[in-house]
Amino acid sequence: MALKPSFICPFCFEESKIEEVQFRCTNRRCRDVPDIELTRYEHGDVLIPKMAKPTFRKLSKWGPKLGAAVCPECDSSTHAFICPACHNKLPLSTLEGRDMIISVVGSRDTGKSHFVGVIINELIERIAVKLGGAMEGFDDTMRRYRAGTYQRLYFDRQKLDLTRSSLIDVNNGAYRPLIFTLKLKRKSLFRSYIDSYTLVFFDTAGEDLNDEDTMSTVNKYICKSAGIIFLLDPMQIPAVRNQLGAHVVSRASSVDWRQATRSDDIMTRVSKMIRSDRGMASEAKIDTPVAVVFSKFDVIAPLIPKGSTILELSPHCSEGAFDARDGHNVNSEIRSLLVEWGAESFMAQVDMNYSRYSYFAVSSLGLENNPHEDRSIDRPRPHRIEDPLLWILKEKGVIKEKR
Amino acid sequence: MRENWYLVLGLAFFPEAVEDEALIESKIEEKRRFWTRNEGDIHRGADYRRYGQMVDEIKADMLGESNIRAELIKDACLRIYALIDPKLKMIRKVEISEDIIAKIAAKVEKEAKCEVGLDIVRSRVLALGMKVVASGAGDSRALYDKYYKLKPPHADKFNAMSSLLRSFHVGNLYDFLYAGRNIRKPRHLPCEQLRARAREKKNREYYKHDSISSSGSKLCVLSEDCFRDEASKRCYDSYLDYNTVRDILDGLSSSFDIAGELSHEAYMDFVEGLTEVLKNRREAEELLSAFCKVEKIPLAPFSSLTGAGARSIKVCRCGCTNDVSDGRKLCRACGLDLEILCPLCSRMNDASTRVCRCGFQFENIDRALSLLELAESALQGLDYELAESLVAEAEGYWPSSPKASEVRLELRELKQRMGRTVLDLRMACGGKNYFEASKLLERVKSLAPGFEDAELEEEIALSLAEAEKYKRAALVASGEEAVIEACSRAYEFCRDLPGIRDLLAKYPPLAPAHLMIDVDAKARLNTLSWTRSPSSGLIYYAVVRKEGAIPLSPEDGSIIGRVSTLSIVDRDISPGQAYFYAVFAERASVYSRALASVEPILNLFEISGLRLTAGDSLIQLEWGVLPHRAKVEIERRDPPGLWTRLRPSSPSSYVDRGLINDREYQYRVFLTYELGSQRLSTEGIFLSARPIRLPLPPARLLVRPLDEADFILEWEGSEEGEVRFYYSEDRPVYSMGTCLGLSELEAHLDSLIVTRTGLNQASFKLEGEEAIYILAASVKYESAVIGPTVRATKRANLKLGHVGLVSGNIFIALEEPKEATGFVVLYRHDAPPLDISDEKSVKVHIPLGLYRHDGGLVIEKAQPLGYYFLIFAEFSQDGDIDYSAGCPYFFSNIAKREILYSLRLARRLFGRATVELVFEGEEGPWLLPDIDIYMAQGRAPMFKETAKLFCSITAREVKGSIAMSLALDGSLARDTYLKPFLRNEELSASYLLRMKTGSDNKIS
Repeated sequence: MALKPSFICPFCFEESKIEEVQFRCTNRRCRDVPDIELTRYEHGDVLIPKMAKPTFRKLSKWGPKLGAAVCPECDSSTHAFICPACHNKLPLSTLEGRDMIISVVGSRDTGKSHFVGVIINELIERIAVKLGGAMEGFDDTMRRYRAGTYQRLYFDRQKLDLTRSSLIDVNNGAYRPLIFTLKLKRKSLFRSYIDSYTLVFFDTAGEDLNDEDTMSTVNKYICKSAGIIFLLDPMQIPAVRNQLGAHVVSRASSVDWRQATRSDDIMTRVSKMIRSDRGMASEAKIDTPVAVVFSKFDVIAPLIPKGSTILELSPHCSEGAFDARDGHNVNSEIRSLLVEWGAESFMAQVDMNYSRYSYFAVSSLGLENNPHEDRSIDRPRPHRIEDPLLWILKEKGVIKEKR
Repeated sequence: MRENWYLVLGLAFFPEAVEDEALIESKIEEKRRFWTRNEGDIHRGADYRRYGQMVDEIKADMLGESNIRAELIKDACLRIYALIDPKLKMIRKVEISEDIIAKIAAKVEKEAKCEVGLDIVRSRVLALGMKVVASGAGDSRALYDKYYKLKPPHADKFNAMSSLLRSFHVGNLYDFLYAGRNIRKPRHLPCEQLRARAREKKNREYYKHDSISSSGSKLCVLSEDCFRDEASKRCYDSYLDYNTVRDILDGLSSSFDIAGELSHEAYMDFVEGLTEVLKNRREAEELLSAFCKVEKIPLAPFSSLTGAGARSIKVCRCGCTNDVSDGRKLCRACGLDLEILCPLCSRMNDASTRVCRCGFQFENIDRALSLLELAESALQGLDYELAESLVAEAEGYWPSSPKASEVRLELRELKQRMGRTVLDLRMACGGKNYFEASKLLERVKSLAPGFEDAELEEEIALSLAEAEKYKRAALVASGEEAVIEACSRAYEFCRDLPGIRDLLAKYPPLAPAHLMIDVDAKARLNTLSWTRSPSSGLIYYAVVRKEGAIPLSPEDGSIIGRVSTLSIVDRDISPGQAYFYAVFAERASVYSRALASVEPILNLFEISGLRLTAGDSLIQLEWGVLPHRAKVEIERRDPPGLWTRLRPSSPSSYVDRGLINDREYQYRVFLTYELGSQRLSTEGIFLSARPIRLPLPPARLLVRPLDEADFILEWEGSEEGEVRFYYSEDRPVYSMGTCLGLSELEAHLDSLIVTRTGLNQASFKLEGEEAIYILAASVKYESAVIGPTVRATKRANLKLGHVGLVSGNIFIALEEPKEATGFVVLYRHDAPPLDISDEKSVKVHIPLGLYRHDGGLVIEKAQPLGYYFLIFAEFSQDGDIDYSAGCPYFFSNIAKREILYSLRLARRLFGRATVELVFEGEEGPWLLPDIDIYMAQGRAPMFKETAKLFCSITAREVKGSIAMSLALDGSLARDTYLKPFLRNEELSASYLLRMKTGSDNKIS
């Protein structure tokens, strides 16, 4: 596959030219040298730098070329590409395939971690398979995912704790995104190909979206996103909250709605940051696809009238493509619900800032799986969790649309 | 190395490090869960989170071939040493006591946040060239606490006894038990002796219903409890010692308070007092010194245990301190040798020695001495048997004890001197022959001048006095009845008072009448009955038996009983022996004439233990042991009614073969006795049996619950014979196919009452909560063939939760029943499954592990059909499987009929605008249900309640699609939206009303 002229590092989200790609020696006997870039990325003390194998650029008079490079220190060859900015090892799909940085944003306790935790498992186990492909983790992603969120949700059967801010807890490893390679088959007239996409999930703490300064340092990835999944907690809408019992609300939301940042504020900040990153005028609409998602749908499902499309199972996977008719109806129903429940201002924000958006409703844990009093849950059995992601993939031309 | 996993995981690393990988892995998993649970811990939450993220790193370091455990063990030791060393340095001592080691270990454990054993501290102390000494050496506070401050265990319980003991003017249970007995150290007696004494005291002294007896009885019970074993006795002894030590030390304190100083003499007194308790002079001095130190009592260095003084002091076993500088060999208090020869190794030991080097415990000598004291006391009471047993017991504790030999010699001499006198005295007292007893007592006193038994003397004297009183009354009485009454009374007090029998002999009682003798050959006994003697007074009946002739007097034959009732059973008889019986009325040893049987009584014992077992064309007869001189005879009644004599060859059984199955055969089995020339037969026992070909047992048995308590039983096979069910709470021991008698089966198992609901089906109700084992058996006549066994338990009905489609699979959430080991899900698409054995159903077995992993039951790859489920919980135990009641559930996964609609506003140049509404369905004809179209402003109607009905469309049949034009009545408001709804919401299970792509609900 041909190389791209530039790429975005899935770790630091810095854009670099392909000829700037560096290599890291993989010979265990080669001496360790201080790695300032990696130390900085890992929030370490640059005065006590992290020691790592030497990094170097491959100089070729024939232009940018990957493959193997020879370490100038020990003369051994290496295939480990690293980002020139943060010195993290890069997946090949970042250099060859398409980047799909998926930003999951939303205010505190809207269910971002649950969404990310469950959709990754669904992508690996079900969605990628149904789309005729497979998804695999890069480097230590799978291990981190299995040891963290997956363990907690699928084995310990416990609701996840609120994600700690990267500013408060710099050592929690949360600054490292979860990087996966989605491989999908594509058939042409004579042969079939495999397209690789780098899916990057970054689970942000809701409080890191509370002010612009923090967002610009911690959440740089949003500006580079291929799509944004914007989660809305229906319990933060007064009309919904009033229709549900206090114990239902308290079990579903651990943060007092009065203390949560309004979703339209976050939407404004996200939009402003993207615009300033891209140098766009304030009136210009952003063309990044935004999936506006009602999370915790299991809690509000009893309020939805029978016969509504959002109560039906997602048809996209079984269709092997995004079902436009279903998406159209879901979008219409969620919009109607938002108006019914008095959230027009948020809708207006979305409409004013983005040219491509659609509304969805998902439940990461599944219907009738509201956490118990002791925070324990049944094994997640998500409802329509794939809809927003598949819509973004459809918008980015990764999967087809069925009309 | 930043973290040491041995310390983090709390694994032992010294002196033996944990190297078992399975153990380490389980520890890692246990800790991981702990860290996950305690991530929010206010103190260590951050650490736990960090450790949780490092689990893989921990595993890599601790497990597998590339582990670094050796380095970690070394590092853990070094880390702990780094914490121990400064503390040892701070102490600045060369000798480190055990309690300091324990304190250091506790402190290090707290600092290192991991377990630190004493061994590692101890080894470090030794490695640094220091010396480990026993704790307490020089530790005054510890000694003070040990002997004075800390109460021994159960002290409160023993304290509660003190008020009861005070009422008997004693201080402890030993004094209570042996009050008034000449025994100095009862606390050295073994527990059995003490308990026996407590029982004796309770029965003899405290048997009345008064307050003293009540208290005494309570103390006896408490004594039995306190001396139930050596451990509890030691506990009580330590309590007594504690009290004594405390009293001495309190005395010292009070003496100092009064005098303001402690003189040498007073000091020595206190030391001797403590030595008596502790049996160790040095320990006593150390304790006294420690007490004075803690209580701040100035103490000059008085110790007598230095130099030559120490060598001249010897402590006896009784605790007495003896100065042996004058060559003394015996204790000045008790007279015991101050040096004792070990009975095992013949080594000479100081009397205060507790254990000899060979292992002999000198405590046994104390016990032996106390027992010998008791033996001497028994000798004084002329109780030879007791004295002998006590000496034997004492010799068991102290073999070749010189004291025991002395007592034994004394016992032998006394026995020789007294001869049978003491025995005769006892027998005379036992038989109320007090006249003779008084003479024997005189003789005993002359032979053993020291003998005294006030109780016995009083008993003899009182009885004689009373008897004399009634004798005098008899002598002056007139009339037969008065004389007999007075004589009878005198006789009751003393049986051998001279003159009484002569008076009574004048009036012998009249004989009883109507002797009846019932011979029971089956029970092998003779029952005698008679009518009352007409004489007045207390009449007894002496029954005499004699072989071959009539008994003429009570001494002529063997007395089979002396009763006051009017019947007696004679079991001590031989079969075929001729007996004569006679009954005599007895009044104060004066007998009436005999009431005798004229005919000899002959009891021909009947055969016993007869049992018939039917088999295929045969019947086996078995019987018990035959009586002496008896032979067994068998007769079989054949169909015409003739009796055939069979000839048994075995003395215990006979097999009658060649019989016709299912025909009943009657047998008479009897015994014949050869009595001289006579040959006599018993009546015999009649039994019948039917030879049968045994039926096959049921091949399969299934139990399934209908409800929580109602069960259905189903079985297969066993075409012959009746199938019966038995149950027990324990698993029956019979194995399948075993044949046994029905009576035997029913003796061991209860019959299960079932209600037949089909040819091979029955129902029953389980009342109790316990599981029962049900055994099926094929029964024919009186034989049973054991079939299979199943278990039935009351199980709660399953409680289903959410059932729905998840990721293309049917997910069934349900509460996990207690003790379930799995689930069985049956489903059909056409009709509900009948039961667990429904073969037309698809059967899915889901083990418990899979259920827990999935969080519910998952039926994979759901088809677009209706699912009739029947769900069972499975309970497997020791290979037995039972199921809960089936839980039915219908899940519809039938694809809904999709109806697409589109809306469009059609404006006309002339005339009213209309709304063009198109419904599209499948290509063929289909039914459009009743539709209501609602309108709302600003949003598409979502809820009927908040929208306004625009128009309604009645149900109709449509072919492909249908277009409708709805005329607008007047002008529409801005932002008007229309949306069709199914009028009947229940139809949403069958229809899906969806907007067509490109269409919009907004029409204005």
